[in-house]
Amino acid sequence: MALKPPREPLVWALFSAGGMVAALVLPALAGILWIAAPLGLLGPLDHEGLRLLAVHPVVRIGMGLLLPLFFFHWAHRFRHTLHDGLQLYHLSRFIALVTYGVALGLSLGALWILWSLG
Amino acid sequence: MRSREEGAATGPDRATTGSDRAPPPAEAGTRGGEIPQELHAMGDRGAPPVQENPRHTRYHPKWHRQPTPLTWWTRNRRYRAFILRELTSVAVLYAAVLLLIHLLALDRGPESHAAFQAWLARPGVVAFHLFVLAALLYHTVTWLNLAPQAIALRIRGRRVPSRIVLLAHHFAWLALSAIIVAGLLFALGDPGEAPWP
Repeated sequence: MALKPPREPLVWALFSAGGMVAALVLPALAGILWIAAPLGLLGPLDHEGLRLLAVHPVVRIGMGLLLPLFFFHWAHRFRHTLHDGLQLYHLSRFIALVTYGVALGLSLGALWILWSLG
Repeated sequence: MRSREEGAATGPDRATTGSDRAPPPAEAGTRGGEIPQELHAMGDRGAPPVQENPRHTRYHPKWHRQPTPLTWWTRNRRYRAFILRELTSVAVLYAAVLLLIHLLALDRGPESHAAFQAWLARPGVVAFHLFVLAALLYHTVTWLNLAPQAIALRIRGRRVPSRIVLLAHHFAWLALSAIIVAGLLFALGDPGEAPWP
């Protein structure tokens, strides 16, 4: 394990929290937003109603909490899959750097975008 | 660090080795002190504190190790299911990024949103998103099914049966999904002003 022991519980906690919220909310969001609505199952879309929902403070704060958790959930799980699945033990430090780095970058980008919405 | 503690733990064996007639008295108070070379016939001494090199095996000649092929996880169903479960995290990443793009498209105005919706409605994209949805559902089911093993909940000293923990998680999933679907249907279908403050 390339990471020092104290860091593992922190990233595991982010992974775990992200996995739980992803499990609870993502299927419903994906099913409605990206399957049912584009297929026209919900009738014509109301852009303004959806936009008002998107820029509502509750949704923006909620997304600001959820999106970084999703990113770190991916980073942690994908790091271990690469590490063990492909036996890239000699690259473990590099893999950790890249995965958590991508998650951190995406999180900061998401927060900046959410902040500047509306 | 670790090797020193192990050296200290093998203290009682010192008498049997017979090679330990003069332990350095100055370091007797320090933890472990200088460890006689003979106690480390296993080759612990020169080993790095963390094994970063997979080809280095501390206690065995390396030619005794059977190399695991890179495709070890294709061997049986359990391994494949495990890797598939781990790879659902890619679907989670994709969904998170797409949510962000969706928000941006909404924020940029009706034309941008309409273009995004047109892209979403392309058959190939819908097919891909069905695949993503399947992965997200696989993540949800496998994740919630593990909850009873991850959560040992006790009420008045008695452990809550795992079936209750499992049912509670699945119920929470259904309830939250219903709230999300209702909220989105409200927002998608209602023309004009939004009904919330």
